[in-house]
Amino acid sequence: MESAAVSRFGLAGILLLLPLCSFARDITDSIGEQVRINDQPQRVVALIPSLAELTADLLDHSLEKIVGVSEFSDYPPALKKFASVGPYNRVSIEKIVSLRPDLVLASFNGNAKEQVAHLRELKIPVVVVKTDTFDEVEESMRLIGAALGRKEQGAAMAQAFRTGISKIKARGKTRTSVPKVMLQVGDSPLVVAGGENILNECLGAVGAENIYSDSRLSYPRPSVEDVLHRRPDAILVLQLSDSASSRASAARWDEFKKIPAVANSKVAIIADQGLLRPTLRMIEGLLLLEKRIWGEQ
Amino acid sequence: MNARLWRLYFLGLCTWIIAFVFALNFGIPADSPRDLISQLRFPRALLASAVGIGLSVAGAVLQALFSNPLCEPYTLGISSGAALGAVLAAALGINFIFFGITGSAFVGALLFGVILYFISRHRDTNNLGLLMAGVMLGFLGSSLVALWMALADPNGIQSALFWLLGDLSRARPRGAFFSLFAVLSLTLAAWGSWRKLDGLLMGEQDALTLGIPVPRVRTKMLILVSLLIAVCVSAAGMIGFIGLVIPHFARRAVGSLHQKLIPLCAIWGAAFLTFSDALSRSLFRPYELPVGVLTALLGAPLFLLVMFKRQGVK
Repeated sequence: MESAAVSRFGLAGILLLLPLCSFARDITDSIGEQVRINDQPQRVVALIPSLAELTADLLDHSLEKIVGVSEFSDYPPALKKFASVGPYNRVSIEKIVSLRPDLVLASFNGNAKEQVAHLRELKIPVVVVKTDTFDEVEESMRLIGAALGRKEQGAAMAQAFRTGISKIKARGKTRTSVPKVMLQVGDSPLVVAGGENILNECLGAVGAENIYSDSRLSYPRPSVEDVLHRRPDAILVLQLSDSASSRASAARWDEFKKIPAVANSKVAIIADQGLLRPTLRMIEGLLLLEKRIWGEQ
Repeated sequence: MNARLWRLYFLGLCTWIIAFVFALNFGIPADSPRDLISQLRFPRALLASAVGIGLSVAGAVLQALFSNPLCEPYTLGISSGAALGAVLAAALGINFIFFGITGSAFVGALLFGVILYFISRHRDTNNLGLLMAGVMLGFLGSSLVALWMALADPNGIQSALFWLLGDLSRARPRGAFFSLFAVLSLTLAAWGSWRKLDGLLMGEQDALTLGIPVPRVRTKMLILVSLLIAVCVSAAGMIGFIGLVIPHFARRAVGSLHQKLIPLCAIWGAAFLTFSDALSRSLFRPYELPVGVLTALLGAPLFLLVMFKRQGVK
């Protein structure tokens, strides 16, 4: 009698707990970490604007599953209204904990590693993603799709990305000349895209050569003298803030007529941030980059 | 006098407790779930107290050791060693014994401390010589940090940069208890030598005439202070101002005798840093201000006010 009661309650207990545990699953993130997350995460926090964008794209219309984003998450514009967890390079752990997320998405190079470690110590599931090469971007689409419980959407997006990239690469291979390009991301101090950077791969894909591809840094800070020495055929200023400051950065090269880029009026501004977004917007960014280097076709 | 002293201790303790309660209840999100308090705010307030105690006491001891009121925990360059360790670790991705930056900062601080120890053991070294050597080591360390920053990828060292400005957000429950325990033991050890510290106030020569073994005291204090600074700086980065000014306030209140001074420094330091950190977290949500900025912003005007008020009375 007693054992029957126990087993009945035991069974009831198991049945009650079943919905709680059956939906958890393990996922391996970009740095090889095993993360246990809900089958359909309902409270997602993205720690860097580009991942917020990727998440929004993959969730399609169910943005209500996002409960927090980092500062300056502005694309899609609807994200501006979401709770902020602070700037990506130093998020507020307190704020994240208070949002009670069941999935946190972090960037390997963007977010501080010890903050990610801290979140994991607090038993918050964090999926870390690398997006520094085309392959990694493709992989991150699959990974985040799987993490969000949208495996098919993730795979479809990755496939679209791969197709788009290979089309651009194919066009890049048909070019007869290889222009030397400098991709500027900031001035005073001058900051450019180096070799360890997805922008380097972008330039290669469209059939151009990054003049700082030999740098082992992702964002080296060369001197103007060195730029004069390397004689770029084109200088492209990536607009990260307002257009006035980008125009000023571009105009600063005017006095150096010895640079082929300046002599041939090949100093241009890229106002679109697609190149830095690990989403399908990167394809659009690449098309724009192509246009800036090779002109309309 | 005695009643006044107890009153000051009591007041300081009350302020600290109020600051602690404030720190537990305010932070970045407006509401305060319980696990947030126990996992994040409590260790953080505990660490702030420990570091406040450590830096103030280290400042007081160094000011006595060199009979120089401008000495502070960062004057001796030990903190630059910590900074160097932190930046190197962040840039190279090295993980020492405990949490990356904390562990390597501790190792860096100890390394510079050991160099200073050998300098202080040298028979030609007097107090001034040790002070100069410390200042030079500090310059060496900070220029190496600057060199690294000029050459390295900004991506990698960003977290070290935040750490340099003072950062209590690394607090962990066990680590905070350990820091508090270490700081309290070292503070007690320094307090035990209050007579010798009093003697040193008269200057090196007079202290020798009084029968105080100056070189030995110097070495002992150097070891104590190095450890104190290493514990504080590696756990919380470079939080300026406290080590310089809390001892001055305390000295104005109870005089220069270390038996009374050191406990008061400890209590006020803990209260001041706990309060400043709570403010730094709650003023501009969700941004966190570097706590070192806030301690100076709060403390410098306060200090000037007290100084001029006192001169006016004269």
